[in-house]
Amino acid sequence: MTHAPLPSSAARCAARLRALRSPQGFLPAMAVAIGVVLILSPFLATVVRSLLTGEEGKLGFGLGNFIGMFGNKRFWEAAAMTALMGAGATALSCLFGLGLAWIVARTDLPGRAGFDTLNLIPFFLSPFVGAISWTYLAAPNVGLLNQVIAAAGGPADLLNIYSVGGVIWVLALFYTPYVYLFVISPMRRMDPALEDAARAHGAGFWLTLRYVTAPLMMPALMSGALVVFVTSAGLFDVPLALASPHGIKTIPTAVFQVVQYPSDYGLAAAIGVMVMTVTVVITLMQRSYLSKRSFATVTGKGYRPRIVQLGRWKIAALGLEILYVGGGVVLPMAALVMVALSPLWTGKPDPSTFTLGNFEFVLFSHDLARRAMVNSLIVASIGATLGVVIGTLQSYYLQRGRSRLRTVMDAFLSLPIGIPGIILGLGFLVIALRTPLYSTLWIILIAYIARFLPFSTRGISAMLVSLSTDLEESARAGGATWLQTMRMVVLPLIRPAIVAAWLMLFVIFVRELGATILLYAQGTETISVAMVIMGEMSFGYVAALAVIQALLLVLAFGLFRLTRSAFLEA
Amino acid sequence: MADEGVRNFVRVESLCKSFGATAALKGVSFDVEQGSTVSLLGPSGCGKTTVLRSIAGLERPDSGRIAIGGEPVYDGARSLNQPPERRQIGMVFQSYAVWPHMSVAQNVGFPLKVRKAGAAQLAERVTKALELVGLQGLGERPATNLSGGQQQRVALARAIVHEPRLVLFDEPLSNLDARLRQQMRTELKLLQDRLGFTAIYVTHDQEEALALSTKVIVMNDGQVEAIAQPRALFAQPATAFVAHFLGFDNIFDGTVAAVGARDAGGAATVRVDLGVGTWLQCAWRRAEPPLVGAPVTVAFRSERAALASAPTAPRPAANVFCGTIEAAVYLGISIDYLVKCGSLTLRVLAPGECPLTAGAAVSVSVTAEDCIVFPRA
Ligand SMILES: Nc1ncnc2c1ncn2[C@@H]1O[C@H](COP(=O)(O)OP(=O)(O)O)[C@@H](O)[C@H]1O
Ligand SMILES: [Mg+2]
Repeated sequence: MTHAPLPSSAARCAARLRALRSPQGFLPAMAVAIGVVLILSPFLATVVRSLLTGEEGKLGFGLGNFIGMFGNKRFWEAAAMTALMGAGATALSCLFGLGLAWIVARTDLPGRAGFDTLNLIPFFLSPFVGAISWTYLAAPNVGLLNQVIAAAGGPADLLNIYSVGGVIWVLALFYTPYVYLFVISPMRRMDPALEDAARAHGAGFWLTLRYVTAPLMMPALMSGALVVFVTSAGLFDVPLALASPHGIKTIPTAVFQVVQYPSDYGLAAAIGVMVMTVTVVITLMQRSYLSKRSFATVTGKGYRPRIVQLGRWKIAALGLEILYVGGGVVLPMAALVMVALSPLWTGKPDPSTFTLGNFEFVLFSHDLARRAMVNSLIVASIGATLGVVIGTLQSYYLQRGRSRLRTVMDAFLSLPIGIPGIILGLGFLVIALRTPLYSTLWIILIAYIARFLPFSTRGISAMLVSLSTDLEESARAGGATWLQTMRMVVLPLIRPAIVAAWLMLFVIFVRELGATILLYAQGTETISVAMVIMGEMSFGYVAALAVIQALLLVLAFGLFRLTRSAFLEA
Repeated sequence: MADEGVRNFVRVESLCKSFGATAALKGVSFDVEQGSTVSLLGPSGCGKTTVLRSIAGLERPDSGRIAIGGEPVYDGARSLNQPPERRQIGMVFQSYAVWPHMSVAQNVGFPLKVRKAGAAQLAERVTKALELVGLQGLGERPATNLSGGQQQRVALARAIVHEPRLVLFDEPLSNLDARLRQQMRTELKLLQDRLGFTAIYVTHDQEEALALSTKVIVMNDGQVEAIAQPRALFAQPATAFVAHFLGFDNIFDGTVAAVGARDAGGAATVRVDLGVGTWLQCAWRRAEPPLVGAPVTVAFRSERAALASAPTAPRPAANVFCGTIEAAVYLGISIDYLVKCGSLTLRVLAPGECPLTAGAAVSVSVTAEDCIVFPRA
């Protein structure tokens, strides 16, 4: 057998087919194929639809949609507004995220461990609910904070949440945890001798910060900033709540409007193609930036970070924490609960009239609200389960597979991370229109999985990559089949990552609005959609619904903290 | 003052430091002469790094005093603590601490850059420093593109480029493999002789300490256990702990059975009973004479013990143990024997040709000069 003839190409083909027939080859490859279809189909549908012009029924190929889009002044205004909001939110998130991470990881502020948990809560809450709550706090004249300012002698319209600044503020509050998570792990795990060496060789605190600490943080900060820019600029719900009421348009809200009756799917698809292109280009630029400066500040040793004595600066650090946790969690939640408890929100909380009536109404009497809660729970639990199964198999393919396509697939399967939910939803809408899938929960479920599967795959991959292959190989050598090895060795060992991924997807699916707003129909509303619809009826019902959603999310967050926070650092 | 600064260029006095409940330093004092190299030697966790970091200003001690060049840099009583950047030192870290985002030349030039040196002078001195450590021509390389040994050289060049008055080394060779370690050790020695900087060298490797320093300070559990020149330390360790740490691997408890007269060199012969039918004649070099019946510890190196076949038990004699070989481990150049002798187990290193095997009846002998005796509390 040592001189076996080189296999012919037919034999190689046959061998590959045989490998695919074993569960070890088939299941992971299948999961990757599903991922590819989930990405390609909305993408291709959007591209094709953008090239079709004319009336419904007599469509022809042409560039008319793109010409119309580029010639439209309002499109450019929306694009500029989107970029402005994204950039503002990114800058503010970076300030918050860097500051908070430094305080928690590197200073002696008392209660740091508690702040570490508090800083992450907004990660799990819904930005949409946050935006609604901030309207109770900072609407001109009637907002609670404005009333406080007026009582103190200031102008009652000092704060106006219905503005570009308001959108940036709310986006920054809810996207700060992304930056925080990206930078805190290098801050914690950086070899402290790198900074000590600068001090010992003549650099003071500020020079060390400038020449050593800051440049070392840069790759992590840039990664975080990019994620925040792409996701916050592509977010639909916060501008819907805060910018649309005053006619300020962004790209996501413009797409929504274009799809409403009289729908112009061609124009919407053209915008979609534009957004996808920009997102993919930004993501690729980031990859090449990171590959050029991927230096290992973390050498795997358990370093003890050097703790800075804050002294008199303790007050400033505490102030930043209070500003962030107050703005991101305490104030909006308090306002939300007060509105939900008030029978009729007049802008003034009156505890003597507090009642559970709004909760009773949305939980037991209102059909739409009850249906929305059931739908959300169904979609979130089935979706999270499917997402985790596919994600586990995909990460097995990416980390353990023998295919030469692995690196390409790794990049390709992460593409949806940056694509705005409403754009992906548009792609699925184009596919589902005039098919039985249209107006079912299934199409919503498919869009959710397509959009958020990379979170699950990446989180599980990060754990799988740190798991030695010896563990599997010794099980195989001991006589176990691949399925037995997976069941008895691999899955139990990566269970923390799987549980964390499930909770994460559950949270995202319960609150997602952008990917849903174009796909829902009567009967398939979700909680977030119900909040949009009921927003025109009563503050109290919306607030009650938002409180229920927030409770679900906080519950998931609690479980998440219990399982594995390291998942977030993947 | 200036003269004082030369003789006791670095002066550390009763340094104490606790981390929470662990007392890392319990009153450490020593001096370093200008131009000399002093080693801090001791097992891991004994506080060496903490002493070094306190001298650098990277750690704030709880109490005590530190002066460099006659100038106090830390004084617990006066709440004086100069920040590290003002202490004019160079330092080589155990993990190299080479900045990954800078080139080799940027790393090495950093101490000059923060001192606002001119570009021409900076480039010239960086080139010179790179030549000194054998990295000429590699200045433009990214620092992460280097092997461990090369990174160590970058760290070294960075520590001397600004001609600091004191260079601190924290186990600089411990991350290198054995061959490279020996080579770097020799190079470091040559560099030191050439540049003549004052250095404090932390290590847990006795060979490094003996090879590189003019004075060795042995530390144990946050305290100074002994201060001696390398030869004296190796031949005549001051305490049982130092003996153990420096490779005395046969250490036994016994009692003083008899005390002889002092010879011309001032050493008295002491007879120590080990309680297994054997006694050891040892040289007593301490000033105060031992008392008969006092508890003592004796120690000798396995390399200094001689092994002989003894099929019939010889008459009991001084400095001879009788027993059987329990294990023999062949090491090539030598054979490592464990010999059971009553309740004692002795280690003997014999030449590799020695034909004796496990189970053989043997005698082990050692000369009085090779046995060191310490009082035992
Ligand atoms: N930053 C720190 N926090 C808590 N304990 C420390 C810290 N640094 C050192 N120690 C403790 O102080 C003792 C001495 O440490 P160190 O000086 O590093 O010893 P060595 O360098 O001799 O190995 C050890 O017990 C160590 O665990
Ligand atoms: Mg140490």
